Amino acid sequence: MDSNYILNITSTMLQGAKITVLVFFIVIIASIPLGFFITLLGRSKFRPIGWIVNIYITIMRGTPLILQLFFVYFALPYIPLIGPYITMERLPAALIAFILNYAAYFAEIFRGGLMAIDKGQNEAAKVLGFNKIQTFIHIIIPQMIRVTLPALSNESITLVKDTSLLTVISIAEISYVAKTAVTRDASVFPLVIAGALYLLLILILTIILRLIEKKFSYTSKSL
Amino acid sequence: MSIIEVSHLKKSFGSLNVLKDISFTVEKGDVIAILGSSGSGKSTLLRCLIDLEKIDDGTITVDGDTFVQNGIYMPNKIVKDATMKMGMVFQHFNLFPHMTVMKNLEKPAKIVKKLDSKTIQKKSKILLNKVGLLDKADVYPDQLSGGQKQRVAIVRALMMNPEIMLFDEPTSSLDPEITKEVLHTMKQLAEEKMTMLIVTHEIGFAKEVASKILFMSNGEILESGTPDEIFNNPKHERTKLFLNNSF
Repeated sequence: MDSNYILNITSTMLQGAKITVLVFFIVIIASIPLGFFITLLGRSKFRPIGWIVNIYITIMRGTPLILQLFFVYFALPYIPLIGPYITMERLPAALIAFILNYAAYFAEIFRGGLMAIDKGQNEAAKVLGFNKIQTFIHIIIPQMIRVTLPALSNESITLVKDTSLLTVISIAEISYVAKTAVTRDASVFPLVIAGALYLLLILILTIILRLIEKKFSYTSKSL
Repeated sequence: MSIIEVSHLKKSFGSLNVLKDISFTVEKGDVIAILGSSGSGKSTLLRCLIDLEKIDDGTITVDGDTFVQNGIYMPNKIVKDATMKMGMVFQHFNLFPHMTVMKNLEKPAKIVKKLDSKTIQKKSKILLNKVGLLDKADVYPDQLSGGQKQRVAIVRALMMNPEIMLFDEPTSSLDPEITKEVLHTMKQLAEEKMTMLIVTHEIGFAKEVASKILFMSNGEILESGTPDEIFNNPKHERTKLFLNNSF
């Protein structure tokens, strides 16, 4: 195995890493707000909305992501009448499946975060004259973020690795590139590089998440 | 005119009648201690006054504004204007954990009263200094003792310029040592002629500071009067029993 080969394969893999990172960011940026919106819908006083949210979350968490991915990419076009209009390219299909799936998990995390906040916080805000929206924005959401950060971190780390599922619809992310190289070159070396790349990405992500957690902690910096 | 008038207030949780037929008045500058055993309805009464609980029947008038009449609530704005004349201090402090002491004081004044930062800062510093906590301005509530938290909570309520202060068992989750510092702050307030309603188990404090005692039992005000009347000459067996058990 010469150094040229290593260099070559690594640069191909870095191309794959670009796709992985791209998918990661788009999914995170879209699914966190969507998840929060779903949490809010779930709290609606109009019961049927709550039922729909529950069904959605049950399906998203109760079936494998890979199946959902197949469904969006392969099965949607077969739906009578509207099928032809919702035929998608690989990447948009993948993004939609991932965003819908992750939003369901994030919605549950946010729901738990809201439940963890003492009702005394609402009462204190009310007697001080905050209205419901002011209470939510200034009192509830900041505390919810802090409570949910560790779980959000966990999910986002899982997301980095879940992008490897995109292999099954032939999107050229890290795992797909590695698998192709392994069969073509009869070498396990690409797998090692793939593993190293995932590790590196997650290491960077972990450091960033730690910094965010620190920013939201309630301890004084001066002490 | 009385600053608070409550007449025929009734409140139940399901089939449990927590407040049966409560009527009383509070005059400006009164310091009223509400005594009674657990479950007598005294905390619920305070919570009804400041609209944390909805009453089923009765009328509440605060500083001339009737915000609920015969169990029917006025529009939100009237309810809010009336309840904003009161500040409330809770047993469990309920400080905002994600804000420093200073932010806890300033944020409500800024958002609700829309006062300018300079005025707010000046005021929060003066009040913090008064309760001896100016050095804790930039600390988060987590790093305060229970007594310090409660004093911050009192100051936070005062920031909104209330005419009346409600205290719901302000020292019940504090140890005796620390209870003193909170009672000291409350005594200062009483000396400044703040109108106060205090639900408490601190009989000694009630005796010393209160101008009037309400003794509650089973959702009713069984007896009311000056500390002298209640402590030295209780009319009801139930009151005698309670006081004997409390000393």
